[in-house]
Amino acid sequence: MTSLPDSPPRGVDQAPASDPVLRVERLRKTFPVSLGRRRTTLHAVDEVSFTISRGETYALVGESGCGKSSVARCVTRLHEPTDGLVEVLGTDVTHLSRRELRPLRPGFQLVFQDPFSSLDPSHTVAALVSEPLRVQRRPHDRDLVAGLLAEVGLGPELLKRRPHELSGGQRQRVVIARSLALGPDLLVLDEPVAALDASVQAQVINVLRDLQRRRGLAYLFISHDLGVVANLADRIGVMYLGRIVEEGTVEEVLGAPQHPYTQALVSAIPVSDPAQRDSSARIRLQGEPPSPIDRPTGCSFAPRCWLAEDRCRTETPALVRRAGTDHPVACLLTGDPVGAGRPVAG
Amino acid sequence: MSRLLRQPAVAVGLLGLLALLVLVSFPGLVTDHGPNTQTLSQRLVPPAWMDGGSSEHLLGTDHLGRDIAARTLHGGRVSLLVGFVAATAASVLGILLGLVAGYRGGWVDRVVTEAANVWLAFPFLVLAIATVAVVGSDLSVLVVLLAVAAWVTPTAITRAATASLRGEDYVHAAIGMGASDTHILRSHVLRTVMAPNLVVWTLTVGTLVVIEGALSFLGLGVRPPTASWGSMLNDGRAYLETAWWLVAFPGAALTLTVALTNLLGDGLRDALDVRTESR
Amino acid sequence: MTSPDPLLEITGLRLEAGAADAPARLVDGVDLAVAPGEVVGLVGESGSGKSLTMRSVLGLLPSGVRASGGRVGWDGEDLLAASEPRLREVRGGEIGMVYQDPSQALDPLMRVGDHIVETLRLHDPRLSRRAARERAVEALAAVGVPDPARRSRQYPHEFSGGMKQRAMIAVALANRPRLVIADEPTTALDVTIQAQVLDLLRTARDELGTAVVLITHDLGLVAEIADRVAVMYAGSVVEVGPVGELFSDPQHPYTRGLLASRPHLAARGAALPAIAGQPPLPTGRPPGCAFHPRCPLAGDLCVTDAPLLELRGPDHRTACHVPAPEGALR
Repeated sequence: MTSLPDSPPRGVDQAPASDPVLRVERLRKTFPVSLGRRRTTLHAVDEVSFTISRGETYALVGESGCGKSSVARCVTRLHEPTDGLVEVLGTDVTHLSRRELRPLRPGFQLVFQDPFSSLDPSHTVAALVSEPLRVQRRPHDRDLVAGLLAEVGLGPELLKRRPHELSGGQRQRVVIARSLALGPDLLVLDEPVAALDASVQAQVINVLRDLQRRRGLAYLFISHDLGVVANLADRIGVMYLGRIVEEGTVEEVLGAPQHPYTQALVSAIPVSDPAQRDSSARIRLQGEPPSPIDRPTGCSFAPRCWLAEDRCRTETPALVRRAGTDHPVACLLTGDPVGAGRPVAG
Repeated sequence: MSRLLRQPAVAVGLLGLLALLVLVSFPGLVTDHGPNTQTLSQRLVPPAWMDGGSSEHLLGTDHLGRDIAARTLHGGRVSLLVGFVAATAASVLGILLGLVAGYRGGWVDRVVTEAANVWLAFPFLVLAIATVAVVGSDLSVLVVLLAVAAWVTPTAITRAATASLRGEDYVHAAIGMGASDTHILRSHVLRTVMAPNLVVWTLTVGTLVVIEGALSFLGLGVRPPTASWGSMLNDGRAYLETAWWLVAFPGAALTLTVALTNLLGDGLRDALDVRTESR
Repeated sequence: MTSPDPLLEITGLRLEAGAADAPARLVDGVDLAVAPGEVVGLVGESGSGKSLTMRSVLGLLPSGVRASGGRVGWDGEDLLAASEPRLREVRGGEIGMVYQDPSQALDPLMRVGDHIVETLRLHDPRLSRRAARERAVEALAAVGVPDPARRSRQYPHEFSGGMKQRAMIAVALANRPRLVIADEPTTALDVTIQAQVLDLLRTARDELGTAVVLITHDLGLVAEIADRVAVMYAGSVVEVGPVGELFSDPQHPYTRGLLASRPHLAARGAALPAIAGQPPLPTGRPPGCAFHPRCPLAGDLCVTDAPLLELRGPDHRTACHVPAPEGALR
């Protein structure tokens, strides 16, 4: 792989060629917390960088509390980042006020995990789907709303219904239809299928894929489900305790995971066939992620890592391409950095 | 609405209150007498169906020869007017304060919450006496006093409902569309806080009618000769053993009003709480 | 796999809710047998009736839901007809229960160890408090809670999600039950913790001979741990069989659809063969085979007649009118 120093992972470093829809650079988000008397800081997101191009799906994966949802909320500016840069469609939105953001909102929309709580139960489907148009004072009529529903495979007979009259899959499609109303370039999808039943999950995944192809949407896809991610994503960032520990294409990251944590994640995916049941070959992680309030020094994963050496507990590994890998990995044991500590994104 | 009326408590309470409103608005339907017309030759006449009663005065007369029926209906006007206006004012004030406190949080919320706590600890009667002593008793003073007496409950329920809605995903979704606070409050929050406030408003009307009665009974309410149920009770107190009708009819009207508002309020609570249930 | 003497044998179970003249059939004639030491995966979507079926075993039906037929055989006795005192003996004694959300199932005001002490002493009043405490510490150690003596004196909020679920399993196993019902025990947990919890259930079976009914929507978990699988759809078992056969040769179109539509690492970027339509509500289940509106193979008979579970292989049954040729449609 050292023979190809100039071919970085697809979409990562080709800055001039593709105008990124979303550019996140060294994003940090901290929250003040008080534990009894002690006031301290929770590091939800730490030095996270990535870019997403038009028509591309970038997935952030990791376990609960790893900071992936905080990234989604910083990108959609429901949170204000503590530090770093969030640039949507070439505009720096990092510290804009709600008023300043309003004209930019149509460009990027957020889809929540739980379609039961993200739809106001007292409104009809027609009112819910047209709400962004009303908020942005754009013209809207029944045909336009029915057209949006049709795009997600729902018929106009649902227009008069209220959320409690819909199934979970129908609700999530309504949420997606609503997010399309303003013609966004970027959808931030926070676990969009996690709350859905198995037989409906696949339908919504297919809807998302079709929409992306038809509209050239860029997706920031937050998920803990590697199966879903493998199906939908182009590139993956694996998060652990607020940091991206490995990044690359789906093939690179899931096909040949380099970081021990990614290896454990991939290994923990339940088998799809009972004949492959072979628990001895699986990596069983001990313990649980440390709290983002009391992060260990050095590599955050070291306390659970079966390979950890002394230096892992003192030295914080950077997310860079290393000797022996074709994509950036934040692990000292994977090899020495190549290409003089090239920043991952930008 | 038709769904609400199918609830028997709502239907009975609403129809009863409407009938009461019609009667006090048009006392002429029942009696031709004026409320303050004194006929000193006909003092303490018992109700029509009793010995010594006269068809001239259906519910009898008081110690100044005034027609009890006319005074009860005209007095009801004052009592109900004060109750409705003050309850509405309290609700409007409470909803506004509750929305701001619950949505904004922070110091605004702390100020409103602390004010409510202080208010709850403060003896209302002392405030009422002090106010009347300073500015005198008057219908508008009474309304303001009662509105102030009742602001805490609507504020508290609005604040709690708003604060919990603030964390709902659909409110975040609206922010993500670029919605202003006014849009969010109007189209997502207000609708939801209206239902409990309607219930509270109905119950408050009944409570305030009673408080008005109590204040007037203590002489802190409307000034004589203006009739209100409370002042009639006060007037009749001295004749309780000889002429029970002086207090019985205003007392019954007061009780009926409170019973009806409570019935309506409880019915509405039952009917409106099922919002998320499928039909 | 089914032994001649099943430990638990549910036959023709019917559960209803709503008005007596027009009830909603939440569970409609479920048959399910669990042999001693066997791990049975009970798979279905929300509203399929899988959790209700198992709650009826313990007499823990939610208010408004009633059993209107069938039998829950437990060692020769019908638990549907059992008295409340008898059910209390069974619950936590002969049958342990692990819930989806351990933070709701553990009393926040009670020390973790006391949960175990309580269940031990409920089922053995002669056990001294001191002895029960010692056994609680052992039980926590057995499920891999580090420093169990100290942790047993902590409160649930001092435990992480995964640790709470371990503690709950310790409570469920405290009286060495013959059966553990685990209702979505890993759904609230992260994947790396999920594997740890599955290991615990597997160990319980291997070392104590405990049978396990794993209620789940996740076919992956079933593939990991179950010996036999029962697939429920709209209140009925539509297919039941040994795990290997059910995955390699699924007979019911719903099972096939579920297996095919799972997103997995191999199916990159391709459209998933999704099952069309939505699962029906218990109040609006279609007549005939409840799956027919979503079934690509449905014929006239499926619209009118509900199919019964029929043998399709050794110990492999399915409720479908359409005969599936070997290995077809996969």
